[in-house]
Amino acid sequence: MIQTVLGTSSDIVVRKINDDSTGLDGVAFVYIYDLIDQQTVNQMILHPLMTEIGEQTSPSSSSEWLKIIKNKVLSVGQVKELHSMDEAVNQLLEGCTLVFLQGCTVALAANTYGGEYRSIEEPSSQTVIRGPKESFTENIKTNISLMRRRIKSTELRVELRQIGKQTKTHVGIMFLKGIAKDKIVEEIRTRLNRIDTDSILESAYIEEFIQDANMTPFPTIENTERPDAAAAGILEGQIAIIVDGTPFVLLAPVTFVRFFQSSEDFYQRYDIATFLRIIRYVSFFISMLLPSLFIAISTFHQEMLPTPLLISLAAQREGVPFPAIVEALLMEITFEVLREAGVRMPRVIGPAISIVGALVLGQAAVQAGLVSAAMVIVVSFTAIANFVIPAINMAIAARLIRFVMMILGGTLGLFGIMSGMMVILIHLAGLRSFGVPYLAPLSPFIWTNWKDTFIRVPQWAMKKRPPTMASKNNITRQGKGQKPAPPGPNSDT
Amino acid sequence: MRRIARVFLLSIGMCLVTTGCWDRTELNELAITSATAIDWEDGQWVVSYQVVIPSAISAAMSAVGEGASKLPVIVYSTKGKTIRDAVWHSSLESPRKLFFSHTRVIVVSNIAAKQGLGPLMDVYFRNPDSRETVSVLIAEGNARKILEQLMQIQIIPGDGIEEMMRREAADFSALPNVRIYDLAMGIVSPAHSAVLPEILVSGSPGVTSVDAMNRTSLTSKLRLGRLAVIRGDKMIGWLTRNEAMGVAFMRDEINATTFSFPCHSQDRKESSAFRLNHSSTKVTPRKSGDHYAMEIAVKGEGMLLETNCDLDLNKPEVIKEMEKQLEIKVKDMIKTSWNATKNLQTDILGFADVIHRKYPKQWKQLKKDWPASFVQVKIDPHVKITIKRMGLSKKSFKSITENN
Repeated sequence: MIQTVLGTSSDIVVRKINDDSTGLDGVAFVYIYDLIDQQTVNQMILHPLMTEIGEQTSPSSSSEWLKIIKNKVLSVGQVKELHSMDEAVNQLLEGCTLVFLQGCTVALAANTYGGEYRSIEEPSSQTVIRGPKESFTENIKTNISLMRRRIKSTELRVELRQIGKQTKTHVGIMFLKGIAKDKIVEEIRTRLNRIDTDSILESAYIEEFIQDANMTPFPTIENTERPDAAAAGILEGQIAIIVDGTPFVLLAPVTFVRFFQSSEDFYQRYDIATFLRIIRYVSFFISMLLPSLFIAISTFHQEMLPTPLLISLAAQREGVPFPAIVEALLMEITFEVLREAGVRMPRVIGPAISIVGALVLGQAAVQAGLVSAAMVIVVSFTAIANFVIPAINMAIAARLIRFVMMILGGTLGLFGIMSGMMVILIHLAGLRSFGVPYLAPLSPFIWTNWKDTFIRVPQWAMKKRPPTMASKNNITRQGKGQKPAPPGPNSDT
Repeated sequence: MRRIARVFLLSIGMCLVTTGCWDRTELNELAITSATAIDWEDGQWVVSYQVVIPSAISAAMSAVGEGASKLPVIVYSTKGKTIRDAVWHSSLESPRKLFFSHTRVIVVSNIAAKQGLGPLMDVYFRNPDSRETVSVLIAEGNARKILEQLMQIQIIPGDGIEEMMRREAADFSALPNVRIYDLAMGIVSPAHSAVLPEILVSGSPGVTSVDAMNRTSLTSKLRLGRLAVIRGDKMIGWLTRNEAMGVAFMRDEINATTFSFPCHSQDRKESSAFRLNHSSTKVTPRKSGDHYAMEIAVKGEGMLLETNCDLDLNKPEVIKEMEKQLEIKVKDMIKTSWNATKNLQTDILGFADVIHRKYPKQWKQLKKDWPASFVQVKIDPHVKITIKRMGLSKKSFKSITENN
């Protein structure tokens, strides 16, 4: 029967036991070899069935046998009774071992889920100096456990569902009931339920199906591979969407400023965190605008430069064959090529590409008179500044907008850049993430949120959750008078 | 709807492509002018430009010690009936567009200044590419030769002249650093007059080549000289530097200055030096009958730099005496300048403004023949100078050596 549904895949194991001596006749186990934990199957299912079965009093009907097997023999945590073929196949593909009894219409599914998985490792894309070194893995069960260990609240809810007609990927949403807004949870549920696709291989699939706006370079859903970051989000009223098969967990709703917060901001002192946060905003603007400003000022607004700088720049441009805009586009595209090559190429060839990149393209291009040295500095600084932004999807937005800005700056000068910025600002102000305004603490202006926007105040001063995300009747994070103070003169020591 | 949107987007794109870039200039298409000179020859304006050669300058800046092996600037002139006409004639002989936003100084020849500075003002205030913060100087004879003169230490001469002006105005204050807007303000003020510093090439031949630069002492160098007096928009005469100092006191343009003075009334030899660190002047007009008397109250403080008098500086009365001598000295300077200014019949001291402000009704009468009334004005200088510090030593070396 099973074989008619799944075909004759060689990894499906069907084990039949015909032992007349116990009166049990025709038991069959079915499992998929690669999905189960071999040891569990052997010790908890096969061994008890084969040895301990004799100690039981032989019942007459096969349905009673089933009860005995379910209640007394199978010593695994989760055993389910199955009534239909579809259910049975699903369970089989989840890594269960099915137990069939001859003459019985009900089958048993014992959870023997196992197999090889990557263990919990250090996060590779969102590293910190101080802070937890765990990251999510590809296994949704591990991921949920990582979250559960961090938030031991009775209010933590996990809702699992399967999405994808072929992949049947487990997708879980996780939130704190009472802190996350019910409306947003409901919205996420409906958006997830609406997805009708054949496969979900990464959380990006989900992201693209459920995000608010598609025609924007800006991400409206956050992703993280850090359980602590996800936990922090959930505690602020965000909803985590965990997808099986990827270590990247989605967090929604999200605001623009969240992409400039690193979880380390909260693990280091608040003063340095504030400083770094300002550096990040500055870097964002540098990475978006620096080449365009350079082009605009050096081709339209030379009077804005100090005289010595102008002369030095003019000297460098002597003999450069291209206009500044072409020069900048050339260098930017070169850098993007280098960057893409660096990501894709095998690790072994790494040093070679850096030599080519640094020496051949940087130094030699200047010496050959193809580009000016100042342009190389501008492009490299822009590139470095781009890496400062903690969220890679926000960094990508700045990277794309940069090219548009360069063309605007090269054709219309500062006026073009200003108009471009206006368009971006209007666009940002119009974006929503699950109903939450994207520029939330800035527009609409929410004063209490400013404690964690451009600056980061100490923990004891952050008394409230962001009201845009957290539900209104549960906004207070901590009690009053949390500011540490030295013991008073009357306290005895 | 989609169609309309597409057409709309396309037209915006076309606007960008077809209208953008019209005033785009690459850096290597600019002739950056560091100084401009204006001469008047045969009824035509001759405008000269000191254009920097960026590659030579950046090479000179990077290779410190080697000295400039190439000339940092070139100078060329064009002629025209108007100043801007002359400027655009430059495209007949220059491969690059003249760029005036970084011009630091304008040197006007006294001949051109006698023709009137009006056209120059108009050019500078009408055009967005030239700045109102440019310093204006006067040169006697040919102004172009000032631009041809190379400078030591400062690579770009135009830059160097402006730095020199600024330093002088801040530390010595005899000659003011006159920006073109100061000049315009002076010309349109009730006094209708202004002053301009003079720049000259002292010595000969002029240092105009790299070879001439390769010496520790140059055959000639640029220096600041006298003070030119402008009435209306025309230059009418000169004041010497000593006279200029008193003018600076009266115009309240002293930032800091240094001068010698005698220690006490018996010994008239000026054997001590005083650094005036701070000074302010208040001019108040007093009307007595038909005449006006200007009360000029100068208040200053500073430190003793040098003294060669046989004096005990620990005694307060000695300091008092010194202060008194300083006050007499400043008063003398003011009186000298006043006489020189009276001879020129030009109110460069701004008396017209203060009278206008205090006696607006009488001013209406007065302004009809202000130069004549100006000569009738009496001045009444009051000077108060405080010596704040005596330096590290109390007694002078002279007193130590003579008393032993």
